Amino acid sequence: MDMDTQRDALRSALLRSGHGEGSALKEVYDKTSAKLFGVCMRILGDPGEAEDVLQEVYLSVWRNAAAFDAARASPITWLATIARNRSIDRLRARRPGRSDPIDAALQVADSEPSALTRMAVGQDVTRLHDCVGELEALHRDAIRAAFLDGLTYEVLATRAGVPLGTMKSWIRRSLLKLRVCMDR
Amino acid sequence: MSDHGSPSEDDHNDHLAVEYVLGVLDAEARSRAAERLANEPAFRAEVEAWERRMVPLMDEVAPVTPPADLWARVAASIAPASNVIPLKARSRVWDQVGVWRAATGGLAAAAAGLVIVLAVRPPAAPAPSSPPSLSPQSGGLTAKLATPGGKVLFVALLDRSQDRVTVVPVSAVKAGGRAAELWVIAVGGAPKPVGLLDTGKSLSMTSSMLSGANSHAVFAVSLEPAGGSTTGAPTGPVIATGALEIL
Repeated sequence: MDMDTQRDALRSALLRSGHGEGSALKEVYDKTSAKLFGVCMRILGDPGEAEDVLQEVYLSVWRNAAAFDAARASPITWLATIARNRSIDRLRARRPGRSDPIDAALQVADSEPSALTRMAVGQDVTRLHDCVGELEALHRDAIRAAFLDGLTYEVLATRAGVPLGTMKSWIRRSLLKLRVCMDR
Repeated sequence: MSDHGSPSEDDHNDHLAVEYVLGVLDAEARSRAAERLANEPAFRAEVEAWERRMVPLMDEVAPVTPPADLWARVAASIAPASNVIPLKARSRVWDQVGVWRAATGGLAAAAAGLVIVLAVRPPAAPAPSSPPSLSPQSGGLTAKLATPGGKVLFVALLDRSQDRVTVVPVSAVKAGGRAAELWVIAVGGAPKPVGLLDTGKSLSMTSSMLSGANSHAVFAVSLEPAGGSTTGAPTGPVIATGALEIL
């Protein structure tokens, strides 16, 4: 099955979930749960909490699938965003101003793009990685740690050993550069 | 060091969307962003644009297979929204089926739990081919199959608009090389074979496969030799049961 077909199948299952078809939700679950659980685990680091959040994510998908707008977002972007936001909300509720650094956050991932993500965003993966690659190393690490691990400005600043204002300025400048790079 | 006061309010608003997407906000700022997300289309559009830009980064996240029973939890949690009704004890009906009762005695260990749910989407028009015994009444029919332990194995969905019954596996069945066979039992009737359940994928069939069943029918799953029972009646242990319910 090629990427377009997979994406279409996922979109179709999502739309059918929106009509209340439980079997379609199962299909969405089978296609996406490993990726979304990975997202939850990466942010929360705790299997029990990640499982709770993943369950909430699919419940939320079930209730809100009818609102999924295929014209505005790819299905996997929509799903991963829900998983990520739920995980971050959970993290913030658990420990506001989380202070334990996660070593993994500074590791530069060298994994090949996953099939699931490729099917969602296609060449955007390459584009984003190119653009992120143009950032200064410290800024790049901060952006990645923020996005993938859900770290706050405060934690990022502490980890990098710079004042909060400096970290904010790094990140905001980096995001501006990213936007220019991505949109050109 | 505090978040307050360092940037001006305008400055903060300028960055709120992207900072929400990036995930650097504290709980208070996140809830402020969530509120604007719900109420301000322009803000939502900006958030969505940033999500599209940033989501490829998630490519770096390694997939992790969730525990096998997590789908069962999901299935259970969607039940109220999908008109799934928990299995009610149908002991009176069940007791009429002696063969089942006898078989059920030894199944506790084998059973991982099973649910059949017939979730119903209101049909646009009555399906002409629906068997009269399962014809539309108020809404549809639902059933939940579970082991005595109550663990969910399958969810079944009745889509009357398409005259389809789908049985979805919910958690693993330890069949030990045997086949899981689905049966339907009308009140006072003998078990009738419906089909073999694959624990790895959904079984879909026309609802005529349930012909003869009425809205008080009971479902059951037994473990049979590969290929299913050859006698037309269940021969192995019953691992799960559930009753049809009118929604």
